[in-house]
Amino acid sequence: MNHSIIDYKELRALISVGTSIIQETNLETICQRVAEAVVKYSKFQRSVVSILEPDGTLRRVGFGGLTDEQITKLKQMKRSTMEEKKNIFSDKFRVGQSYYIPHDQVSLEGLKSEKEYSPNHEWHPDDFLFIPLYSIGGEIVGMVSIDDPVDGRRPTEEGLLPLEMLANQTAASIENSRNTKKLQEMLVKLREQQKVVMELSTPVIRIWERILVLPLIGTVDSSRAMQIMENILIRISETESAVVIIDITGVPIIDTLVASHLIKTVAAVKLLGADTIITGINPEVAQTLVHLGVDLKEITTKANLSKGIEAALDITGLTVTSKDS
Amino acid sequence: MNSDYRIEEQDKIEILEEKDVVVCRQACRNWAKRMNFNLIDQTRITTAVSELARNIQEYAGQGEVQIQIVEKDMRRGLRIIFIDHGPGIKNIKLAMSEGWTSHRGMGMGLPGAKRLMDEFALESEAGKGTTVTTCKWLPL
Amino acid sequence: MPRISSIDSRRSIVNQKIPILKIKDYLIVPIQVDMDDRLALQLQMDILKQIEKCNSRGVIIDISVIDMVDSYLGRILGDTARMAGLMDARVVIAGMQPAVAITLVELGLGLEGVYTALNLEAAISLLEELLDKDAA
Ligand SMILES: Nc1ncnc2c1ncn2[C@@H]1O[C@H](COP(=O)(O)OP(=O)(O)OP(=O)(O)O)[C@@H](O)[C@H]1O
Ligand SMILES: [Mg+2]
Repeated sequence: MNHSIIDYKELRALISVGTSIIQETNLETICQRVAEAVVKYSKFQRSVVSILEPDGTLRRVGFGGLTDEQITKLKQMKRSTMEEKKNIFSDKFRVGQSYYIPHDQVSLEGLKSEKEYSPNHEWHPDDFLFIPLYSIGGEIVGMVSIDDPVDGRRPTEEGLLPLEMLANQTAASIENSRNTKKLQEMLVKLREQQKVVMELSTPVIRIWERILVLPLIGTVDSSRAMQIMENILIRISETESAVVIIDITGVPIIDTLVASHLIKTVAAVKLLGADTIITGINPEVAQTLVHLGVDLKEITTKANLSKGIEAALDITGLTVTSKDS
Repeated sequence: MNSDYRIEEQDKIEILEEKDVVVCRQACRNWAKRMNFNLIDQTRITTAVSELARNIQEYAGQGEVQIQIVEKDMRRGLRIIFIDHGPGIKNIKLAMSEGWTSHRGMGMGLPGAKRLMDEFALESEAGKGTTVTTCKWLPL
Repeated sequence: MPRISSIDSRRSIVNQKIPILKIKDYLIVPIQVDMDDRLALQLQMDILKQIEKCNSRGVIIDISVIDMVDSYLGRILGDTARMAGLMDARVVIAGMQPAVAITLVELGLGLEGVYTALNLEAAISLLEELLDKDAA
């Protein structure tokens, strides 16, 4: 009855494995190390660690005490689902945090339950033993199935305790690894957003007294276009500028909405009492503007930035002359 | 329809005469200022209020403007509702179209106010009155 | 006590007349209160009468302290400019705030054909330019 008191050496070894995997971010590595540790430090000679995937299937990831051939075969086998395993998680089979299903209670159709369970019996090669991996929130994130005890006896509650502790640390590590991945994805997204913010703050440069230039680069979406419009107007008013040159050489395409913001900007600049010159319109943008029915008479356009600057200087009453003339 | 807005605070202003249009738009600007809307949004709100309060005064003679600070889906907004029991609008689609006016206006008020606000809903029944519900959300 | 203040503010809005200043050949109209429709219409009439009386060739309407132009005021401003034009005077709207300009455009009003200037000085030099051109 009390043949398996806790083995402290085993416990310590398993705990140290558990502590070492918590920092590991690779799911494969975590599962493999746990499967190997089970075989190495417990009386069970085979183990498989599976992870519950978002689609509800259990993916076998870590293997202990199995030959390469067996592993390949297991990996190729159809994954079982949590749904199929539902019958196993019945109180009848529970031993501590684990579930032990004697072979004679299992059939291909499902689970039978004719015979009474008794821990004094011997382990049968077809018996099943599972330790579910519970997240901190109490949800199953995977399971460890273990097999083939050295002593050939059925498991007891205390005997499973060290493995269950390892299982809990495994679950925490899996969760941790998944969260880290999520965090990394979020960071990538955040960086992308920062890039957008950088673009947003596209500077309105004062190149001359009363002349501003806004070089637009990259994709312009509607909210950025709106921001740009606000920036331009505020800068004109602050600097009391007479002309703003919007250079869109760096803008590959503009959509209807952005084009209409551009038109609005020109109109609002006019209301302030200043002029807009748009430079660097490429063929695609020209097509868009004409298809939109934009009245180009309303907009001053110049081929490139330097032509735009010349025109701006002209508007502000300055002219460019070369030194020796 | 009201249930998903949580009202934090509210007030109302009656529109009885022409001056009340000014009183109302100034009050709304103060609410917008207090909620920390930026200057441009304050101006959008004030202008939309001026249009819709004027419509009450012009077409219904009198009515009421409800001002509410609301919260919905973790966002705070300024909701402004214009209610009158005037003649109502027979053809809402027509009234909402750019440039259409039954009088000698520019037909700019309704479509313009819709553009200036984030939410805009017009309900009206001929002979019963008109209710325009608008809302502007603080940026996240 | 607080009740009175709201009534007071109504009085202050309405019972002010907008001053029209005459400087050289120009009229300068600094709008400094939030006008109701009647006052705006009154101002239009006052400006036109003043143009006639002073034989003015140019009018500058300074709206730099105005924090809102709605469709009504926008129309009054545009109409005044066109009416003054018929009387051979030019109108320049000066000092519109950026937020007001954005809102006006979004509202759908471009004040087409109305002269605008960043500030009073810019408005005066614009007027001079326009009148020079007229003379030529
Ligand atoms: N509260 C209301 N009650 C009855 N009719 C209304 C009301 N508001 C608007 N309308 C009708 O809808 C039409 C369009 O309104 P809208 O505000 O868009 O333009 P407008 O008032 O005619 O001109 P503007 O506002 O540009 O000076 C009005 O001419 C009027 O017939
Ligand atoms: Mg109206």
